[in-house]
Amino acid sequence: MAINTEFLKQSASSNPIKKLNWTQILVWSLLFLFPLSLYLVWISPTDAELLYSQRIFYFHFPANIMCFVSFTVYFTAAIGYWRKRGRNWDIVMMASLELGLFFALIGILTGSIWARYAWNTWWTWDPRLTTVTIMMAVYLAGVMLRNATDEPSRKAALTAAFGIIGFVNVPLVYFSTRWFTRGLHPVIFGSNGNASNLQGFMNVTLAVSTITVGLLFTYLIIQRVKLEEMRDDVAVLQFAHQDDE
Amino acid sequence: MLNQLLLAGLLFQGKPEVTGDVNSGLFYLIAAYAVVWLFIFGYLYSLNRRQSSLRRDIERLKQEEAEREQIRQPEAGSNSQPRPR
Repeated sequence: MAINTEFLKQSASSNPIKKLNWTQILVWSLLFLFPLSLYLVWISPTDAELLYSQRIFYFHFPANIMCFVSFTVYFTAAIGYWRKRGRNWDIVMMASLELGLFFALIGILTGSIWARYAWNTWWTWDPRLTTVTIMMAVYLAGVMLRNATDEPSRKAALTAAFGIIGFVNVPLVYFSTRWFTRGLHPVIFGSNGNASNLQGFMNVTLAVSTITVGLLFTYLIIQRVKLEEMRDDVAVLQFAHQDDE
Repeated sequence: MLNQLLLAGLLFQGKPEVTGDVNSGLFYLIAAYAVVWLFIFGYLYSLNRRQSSLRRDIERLKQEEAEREQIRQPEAGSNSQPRPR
């Protein structure tokens, strides 16, 4: 039976999914979801003990989750780079490393402000806070080492090494509240976790704000990858320019 | 869904009965959200600035390349003309 290949080609080129501008969809979703999540934060029930300050949780928690997601993407890309040695993996490593640090910083600052109200101190060497600080220091060292090298493949190899070694910190940060129970930071997930204490509408607010921050992460990683690709374009054009001269 | 949300906002009864914004934690809530927004806008601004700068560089380099190409073409044309005997 003869297959109409023209028809197949036509359907592939006019695929409506491919025609969608995903960046624009993300921007419009964020423009809708950010005000909605702020509104939900405002109307959520107030915690009897932590009062208004409990609402910091609705952005503190998603920021930390996105920090973990970023460093997991970084770890995956680092393994990808060691296997294939491709520039695409290096770009994903750079983007996810920068975003991981960005969300970790948001998590630390919002946590510090919350701690001032809840624990009466801006900072304490609690196991969770200590492990987060170590994690950030390791990844910052990776960024500094990368910037200290000029050779692109060496830069990528160093970043990949830090992506694999530094990932040891991620489960350590997550389990620190369980393994070192003397700390002030509560356990979030699990049957005895603080997240299970959230009442009805609080869960809706948390879900919406987590989706919002998740979409923000997706938008930012797309833009960061685009930036790195543009840098490559400039490098290629400059190389061609020098070659002509 | 939207109506229910608006109604929930109007019927909002969750305000803590504590005097003073600092005691109720409102000050800390506003400070934390200000930090979040400041960081998000700061990072978006930095990304946009870096992209714009690179976009300008790409345009300039492409334009220079096109100009060089234009100069090269007449030269190539004059070289290919047959020499008079």
